[in-house]
This record gives sequence, structure tokens and C-alpha cells, in this order.
Amino acid sequence: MATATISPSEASHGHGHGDTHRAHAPVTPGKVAMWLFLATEVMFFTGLIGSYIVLRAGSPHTAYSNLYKPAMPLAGLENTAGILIKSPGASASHVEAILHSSAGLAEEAAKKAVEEAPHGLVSGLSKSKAESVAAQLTAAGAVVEVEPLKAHKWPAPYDELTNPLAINLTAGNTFVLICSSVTMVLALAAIQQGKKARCSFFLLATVLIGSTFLGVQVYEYYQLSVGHHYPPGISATGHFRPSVSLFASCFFTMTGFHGAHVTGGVILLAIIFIQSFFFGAYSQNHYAPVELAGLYWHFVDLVWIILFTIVYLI
Amino acid sequence: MAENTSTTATEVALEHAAESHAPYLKVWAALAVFTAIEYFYAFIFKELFIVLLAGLLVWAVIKAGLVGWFFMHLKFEGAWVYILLIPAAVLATILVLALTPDVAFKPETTENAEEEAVWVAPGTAQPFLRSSPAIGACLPRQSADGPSLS
Repeated sequence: MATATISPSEASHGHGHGDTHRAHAPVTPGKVAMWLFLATEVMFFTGLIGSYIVLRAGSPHTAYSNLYKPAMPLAGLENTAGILIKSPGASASHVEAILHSSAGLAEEAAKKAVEEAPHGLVSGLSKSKAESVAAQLTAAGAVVEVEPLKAHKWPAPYDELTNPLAINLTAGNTFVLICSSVTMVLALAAIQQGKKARCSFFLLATVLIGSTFLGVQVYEYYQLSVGHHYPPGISATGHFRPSVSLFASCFFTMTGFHGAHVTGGVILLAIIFIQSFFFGAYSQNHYAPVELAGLYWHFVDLVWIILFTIVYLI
Repeated sequence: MAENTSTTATEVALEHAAESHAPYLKVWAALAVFTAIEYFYAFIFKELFIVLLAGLLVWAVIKAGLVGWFFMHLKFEGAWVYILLIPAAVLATILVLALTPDVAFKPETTENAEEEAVWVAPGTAQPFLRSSPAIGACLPRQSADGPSLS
């Protein structure tokens, strides 16, 4: 390790600060390289988020509706309404029979609509017909609501007929990722104080918590694309997959790339943990890999904070 | 990866001490609080788009700032970091501004009149700020009893 022969007074003049609170960290090539990489990552993610913003702003006013599939032309359908089946009541088969006879649904479709309560949707009826069928269903003991056609530019958060995203689960997941950021910085602080075992412990904690975040994301992807069946306002096929709408495409692209970055981070941190725990590779005088991996990990967390806000909450 | 530092050993030790004793747990508590605030704010204001947008961006920037300042040690880093970050942020802004006229403000033409028309139900409140139609475009179609705009 090279040490330049600068006297303390020269060094403090060079930095221009007398107080220890604003001490500057040493500028190493590794740190410059990592920050440069993070600047390119900023451009990468702002490319994705910027595209999302303009695509959303330019989305037609009738792109998403509560009754019909995304991007369906709604010309001529202005006077239609749908029936939202919230609960089939005591006799599901009676309800199905009414749907089959009065609403003209095929038996399969009627069965499906009843099964999907509280989001079962029967669409394509005229307003008066919807009301009469709804009255019949209520008389049969079902809890239904007449849904007039509403067109949106973009799926609104918490709107179950156009937006399938699980905001509660993902808000919790956001906190999980923040916790992993905390354990990461505590690992760095530990090795800066020379505490090797503590550093290894917090590195392991970061890897495990980060993997938990990934696990929840995988679970969410599974539920969206395979597990749940969604009303037509969300997807023509009933499953939320990248090809069903522009919203779906954007969602999977942005969160998918972020998930790929998290995966890379978890692998990197696992390697650093192994080096720390099994080989004792880091010390108070040599901890740059921990710091640099930490910078990447915090960046991934920062991007998620912004992504979660923009994709899920707005 | 040996550290090539031009500071003395005492300086390095002081930097370690300052960085490693930053108030990480307090920042964690603040992040938890702001996450909760963001979550409940989004639930309360989900119908009012401008209020929602402004508020959520404020909370998101605060949280991102806390992560960057304390966890990424921007508090302790020299000004050189911003020479890298600011051009990236400028490019990001320019990207959005450059795409906006073509992607966000598509002019309404005879071909896409159906898509771009705003359908308004009679008696509904009109937004105070309405975007003006593009030059040469059809006026928005007002359907007599069309679907309500949300």
C-alpha cells in the first residue's frame, strides 16, 4: 500500500476541511469505477422509467375499461353495462341458470362467472338488460352490482377490475429490501471497525433478506401470470402476462430488469460473504470489495424505491 | 485490491470512524416511517391524481435521498461523484422531454380519432385544464350518452 509523504497540515489544506464530521473518503480507482457504473445504471433505469412515463401519458383515453379487454375499440359499446358478481349466494347453480337463460351466456361461461366471485363479470349487456338480470340475480340471493362502462387511460391502483397488482404485499417487500440495505451498511461499518465476524454475519443477513425479496417477487409473478384468474378489464386471457396489454408489458419489463439486477447483487454478495466468512479476506485495512458491492446493493434498493412508487402507487 | 490512498494513516482512521458510526439505525427507522407514510398516502389520495403524484414523488425522493446520503456514503464522498451523476440525470430528463411530443402528445388525426377522442357523459364535471386539440385535428367527439371518463 503506497503512502504519499504529505504532512498532516498539507493534507488538511488539500481537503479544505478542518472538522472530522465531513471527512472525505479516499478516492480509489475502484470507487470511481463503481460510481461510473452506477451512473450508467441510472441511465438504464431512467430509460425504462422515462419510457413508461411517456407511454402512459400517450395512452389513448379508452385503452383500458372495466368491462372489456385492454385496447379493445369501444366504439358502439358506450351504452353497455356489465354485472359484477360479488357473491353467488346460497344457490350457485340457480344463479348460473339465470345467467344462461336471461343473459344468454353459454353454460361454461356462466359457470366461470360464478366461480370467479367476487370478481365475476358478465359484460356486453345493454343497460336495461343488465338491470333486469341483476334484479333476477338479487332475488335469487346473489350479491351483484351493475357496472356501467368506464374507460381509463391507464389501470388505476387499487382498481380491481383493471389493475391486478398486489400493493400491500409489495409495500411489505419494499420494506424487506430496505432492511437488506441496512444490514449491508452495517456489514461495511463492522469491517471498517475491524470486526470480521460481525461483518460476515451482516453480509449473510443481506444475502438472505435479498433472497427473500426475490422469492416474494417470483411468487407475485407466478400469481399474476399463472395462479390467479383476472377479469377481462385486466387481460383477454384471464392471466396477466407481458403480452396482454401495454401496462403488463411495461410492468414485467421494469420489474423484471430490476429483479435481474437484484439477482446479480445476491450472487455477488454471496461470493463476498464466502470470501469473508471462509477465507477471512477482509480487514480494517482492506475492505474495498465490501464497500463497492454495498454501493451496488444500495443502488438496487434506491431504484426499487422509485420503481415501486411509480409502477404500483401512481 | 490494495487501497491507493494519498492521505495519512490518521486521516484514514478518522474517515473510518466517521463513516462507521453514522446513524444507520435512525435512518432505517426514518425509511420505515416514510414507507408507511407513502403507503397510506397512496391509499388516501388514490382518486386525486395531481395530489397523489406530487406527494408520492416527494416521499420517494426523500427515501432515495436518505439511502444515497447515508448508506451510499454520499455524505462522506467528495464532489467528484456528482460529476458522474449529474450528466446522467440530465440525460434522463432530456430523454423524457424529447419523447414527450411524439409519444405523449400524439396529435388527433382522422385515422386515430376514435382512440384519441375524449368521451364525456352528459352532466359530468369537466376538468379545469383541458388539453387543446392539435393543429388540423378533429375536435374531440362528444357522445350523447357515452361512457364516463375516469
